[in-house]
Amino acid sequence: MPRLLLLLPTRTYRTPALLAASAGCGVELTVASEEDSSVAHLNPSGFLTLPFSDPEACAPLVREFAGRFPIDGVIGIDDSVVEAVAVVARELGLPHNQPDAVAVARDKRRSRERLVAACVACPEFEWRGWGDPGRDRVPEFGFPAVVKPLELSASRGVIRVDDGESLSAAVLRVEAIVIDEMDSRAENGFLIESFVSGPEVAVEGLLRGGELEVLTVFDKPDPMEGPYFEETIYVTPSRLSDSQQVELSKVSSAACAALGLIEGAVHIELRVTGSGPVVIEVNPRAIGGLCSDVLRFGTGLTLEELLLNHALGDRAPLPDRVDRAAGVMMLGVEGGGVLERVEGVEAAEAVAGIERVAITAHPGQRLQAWPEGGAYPGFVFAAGSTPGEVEQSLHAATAKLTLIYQA
Amino acid sequence: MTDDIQINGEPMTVPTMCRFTVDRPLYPDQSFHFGSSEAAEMSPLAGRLFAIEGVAGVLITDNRVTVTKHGPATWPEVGKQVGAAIREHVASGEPAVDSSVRDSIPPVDELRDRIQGILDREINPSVASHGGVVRLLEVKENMVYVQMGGGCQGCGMADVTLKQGVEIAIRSEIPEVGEIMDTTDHASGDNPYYSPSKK
Repeated sequence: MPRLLLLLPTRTYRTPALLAASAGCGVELTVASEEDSSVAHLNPSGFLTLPFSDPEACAPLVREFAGRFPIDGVIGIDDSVVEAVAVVARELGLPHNQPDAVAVARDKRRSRERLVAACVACPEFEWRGWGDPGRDRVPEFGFPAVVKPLELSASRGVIRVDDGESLSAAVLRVEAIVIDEMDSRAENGFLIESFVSGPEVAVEGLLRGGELEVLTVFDKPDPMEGPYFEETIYVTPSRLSDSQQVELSKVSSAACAALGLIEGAVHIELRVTGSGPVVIEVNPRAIGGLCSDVLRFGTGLTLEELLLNHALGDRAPLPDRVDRAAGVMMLGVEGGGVLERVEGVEAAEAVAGIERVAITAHPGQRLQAWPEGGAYPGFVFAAGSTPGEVEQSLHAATAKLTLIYQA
Repeated sequence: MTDDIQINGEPMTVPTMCRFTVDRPLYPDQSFHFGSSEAAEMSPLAGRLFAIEGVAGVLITDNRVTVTKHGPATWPEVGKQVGAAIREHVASGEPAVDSSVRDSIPPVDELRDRIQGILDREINPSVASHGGVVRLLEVKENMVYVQMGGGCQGCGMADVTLKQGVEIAIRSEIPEVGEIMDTTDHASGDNPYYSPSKK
């Protein structure tokens, strides 16, 4: 039986989905995490501790482990492990992205530079050092613009600015967020980039030998005009025209090639403009949160099962996405505070088309609104006969949910 | 007549599972889990359910049948077939589970003592180093109900601890054990690690 090495950060939503996918794929499983497991001694081949934050340090540990328990595939789909996965794959001679390519993709400045060099449409941008006395000067491309940290995810610290005054305030605010998150100025600067108007979409794809296979295109039907950019609805199939989707696929492929990404999951965010798609981000991982639950392929494979099979070397033609309209609403924080309870779950689940409501925040958890926050308190899933129907169900269900915070 | 049999389907928090409650006992005061069609050979009811496309697991407990499915079919579609299979089974008069299956299971008291011994000896001393504890709540037939507490409750790695550690330790020593159910309400735990993020 093949052995799969699963890199799971202790702070993840993905554990149940990945364990279920592993069980379905019939593999021996080794779970690697950045913390020692308290039960590792009960199953020596089942656990491994790896320092995800120092990817190169994972190499000798994996080499030693694989000498005792040969590994046939490696997978990790959270942001915090993607660089470690690349190092592990290189060390084991498994097909994957080179670590440098993954590191570039995770760095918004370096990835923008690569995209520009490859003539892939992306926002105009300027990099500013935190210590630069002119760090809040008006950008050459003018306003509206977006201030963006280099490595944070989930739109944390991303702020639209429309004039010099709001730019100065946003830079101070983003600096505070980065310092709070990184415990230091690990990110030595930030980006200011042109705001690209137009509908936003997400391309979910799988790279196989440098070829991008588009698994699906998600529309984000709620306008994302700022000043902050927390997500709301993802719905598929996309209502864009076939020709627009072909264009999205071409631009996404070009973006992956520009960054040197050749293998594994990618989640690409783009804006659709009158002059074609503009790449906002290329993430060398699958869609996050619980959102992958929207997707089913072929006879009902989950996205995680598809990715596990790929990690184990399966290069058979990919099954089509199950033909149905489906979507997910990421719940907003609504002001924030210490969560006491969520009201209206049963009523939300009773809305036609709603498949389930998953509240992932727990009572007592402190939730922060964007741009400081980055945690969605829950997810609502819906299916229907059309994307518009799904969208309506998601809005109707969400309207019935209320987050109650401690006084 | 089987048309008067009332069956209520209730989707569970795990989207691949649905519990069907029947208005009469199917396997009185007993339970058994079947993880494959091969394992279901000794259960006429589970055999009927595994004949439905997509059914991947069947847990029969007293008057409840919990079905795990894979595949694109929706629960309303599968549920109709599950209901028909249950009605057909009741009409057949066959036992839900052949008595020979029961005979292979050690007595509940023995199972409970042996599992508690594994928890005390091999698991809890280690889990305690992370501030956690795994409690044995109940053993019914060969079904084991555990609850994770302290640092384990709400931990993002609780599933890994259970599947990769606790289950393997118990099964390697007592292979007759059926499903091991985590009854913990992880949503109200302290969440020492778990931190939702990212879309």
